Amino acid sequence: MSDTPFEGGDRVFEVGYRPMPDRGKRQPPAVAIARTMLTLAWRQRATKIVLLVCLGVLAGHGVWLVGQLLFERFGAEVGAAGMPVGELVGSAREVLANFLRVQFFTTAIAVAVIAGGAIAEDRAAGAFDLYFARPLTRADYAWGKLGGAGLVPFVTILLPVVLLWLTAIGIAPPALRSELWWLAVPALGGGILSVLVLATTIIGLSAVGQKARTVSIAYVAGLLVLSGIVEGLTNGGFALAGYIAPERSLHTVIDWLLAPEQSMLGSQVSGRYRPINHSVFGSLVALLGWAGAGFGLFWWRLRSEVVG
Amino acid sequence: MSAPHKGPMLEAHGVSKMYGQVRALNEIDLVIGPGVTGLLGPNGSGKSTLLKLFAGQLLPDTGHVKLLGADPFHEPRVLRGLGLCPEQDKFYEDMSGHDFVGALTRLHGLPKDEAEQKTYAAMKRVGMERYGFKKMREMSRGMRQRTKIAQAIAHDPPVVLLDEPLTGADPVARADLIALIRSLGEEGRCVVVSSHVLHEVEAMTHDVVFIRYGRLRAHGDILRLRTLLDDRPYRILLDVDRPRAVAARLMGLPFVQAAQVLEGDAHPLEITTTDLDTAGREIPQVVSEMGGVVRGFTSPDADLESLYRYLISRR
Repeated sequence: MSDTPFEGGDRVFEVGYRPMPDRGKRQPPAVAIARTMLTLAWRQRATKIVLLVCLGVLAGHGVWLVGQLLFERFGAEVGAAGMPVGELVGSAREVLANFLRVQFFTTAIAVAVIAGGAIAEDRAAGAFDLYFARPLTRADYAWGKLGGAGLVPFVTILLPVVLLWLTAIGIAPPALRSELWWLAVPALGGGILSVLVLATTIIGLSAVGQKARTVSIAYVAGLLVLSGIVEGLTNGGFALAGYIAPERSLHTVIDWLLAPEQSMLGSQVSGRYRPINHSVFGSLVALLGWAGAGFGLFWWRLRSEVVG
Repeated sequence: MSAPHKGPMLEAHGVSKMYGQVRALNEIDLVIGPGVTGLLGPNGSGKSTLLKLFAGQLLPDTGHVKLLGADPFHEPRVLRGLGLCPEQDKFYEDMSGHDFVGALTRLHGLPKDEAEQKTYAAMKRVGMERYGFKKMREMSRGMRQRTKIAQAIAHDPPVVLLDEPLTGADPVARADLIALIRSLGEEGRCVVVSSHVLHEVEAMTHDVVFIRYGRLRAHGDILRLRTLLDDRPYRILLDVDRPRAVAARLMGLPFVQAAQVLEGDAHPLEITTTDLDTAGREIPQVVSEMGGVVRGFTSPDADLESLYRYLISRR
């Protein structure tokens, strides 16, 4: 046998070649990745239940907002009886702020259920080999997963904020309308921050988890436990600990953005007004830190598992 | 469709790959064109590593790999011309086979309708059109294999890499899949099949690549490779009357090294030769001159299994 066993010189390579598949008009692969992720999640009953809960939160706040604005418009006699409408049923600011705070928690459960398996399930299903044998970069994959995870809070937080705001604009008395126009900016700001934090942190945790269910439970439990520990620490005088809990930092930023005053109805709906962090800037940095940590964890794992 | 790529479809030039201290591939030079090529070697020989390099999932430590003339690692766009069927038997278990293939086909950027159409065609081609809507967890191993092959060919790639594609398939499914793989090659695709089941590879192709200890041991047509192994004589089993007389006559021929009579065997005469072609031509003639006839003529050393055994035993 020859030392160089390969004898490739006698082949006619140009016979029978297949053309490359046409490129034509193509959709970004990130869309297909997000779609697959959400399709898989939609098959779970828990997904539908948790989305119904989110819808319930929206409906509750919608009723509150509509009621509050109708009082503003027609309930002059309430004010005449000695109690201003704002103190009784609150304002659109309070409704939006309260919605953002409450929906942050329900959406945290939703993203845990829907996106908990985003990467963990791909790993378990050996999907990396199949994905990355296609014209796909790590960035495409990352965008797809972030997009899929971000779509959940987008639908449960951001779109409802817009819906509530439009409702407020539509039925508010003319005198109040000019003030409500500008309310969209801070409300959307709070919503975008929520989307960012929730999408990146769940993706980061999913990237290190092995099973979708474990990731989901760990995410929700972690959020609740962290919140409890932080509250205990801040009550004990460690004010800086407040910045560790994302919901507390978000609360701080939302209050700064929307400047709500708590009404009687508001205190009935969301309970006693909880203390917040001292620094809005510090809270914002803490939230961005969580988002960065989540994405960083995700990217680090992706780089270590997928070459190229 | 864009113009076909001219030139070798898969190339590896001086490719080495290390996993820590373990050298998985060592200075591999390989050029593969259209048709089916069997990739053979014992476990741990580097077959899967080579497939991953061609699929752009690994970067070689030295040398370079080309898929359709481009570096698949740095130019992932070229991967639109690749279909990979990995060895692993893991899936999204709650998905139907059809949805699974559809989801992966859409990763090529195909619009939904086109992806759906191609998915249906691929499932039909692998014989899964009736079972494609079953969940993956409910499928037999053979069905899962077929589904895996469907996702590799759905987007009509010119290069298809199949890692152990027949694992778990029943005999009927194996025959179907072998026919399918042959037809993929006949269509002008470059199909590389990594397998341990030698007779199945032989049924698909005579063009094989042998790898052992990460080194390329041989590449080419099975029979031509066998003739290159001139230090390994062939055994020929003959079914003839009067085997002793025939043996005595054949020993006088220059290409016959030895002859042995096997009492009570279906092939009572075993000849050892270094020239199978000449033996195939001249032995029946000699037997005929003696007034006999050769009822059986087989060489257990001329098949792929024998070649494989020889090649992996060579240091």
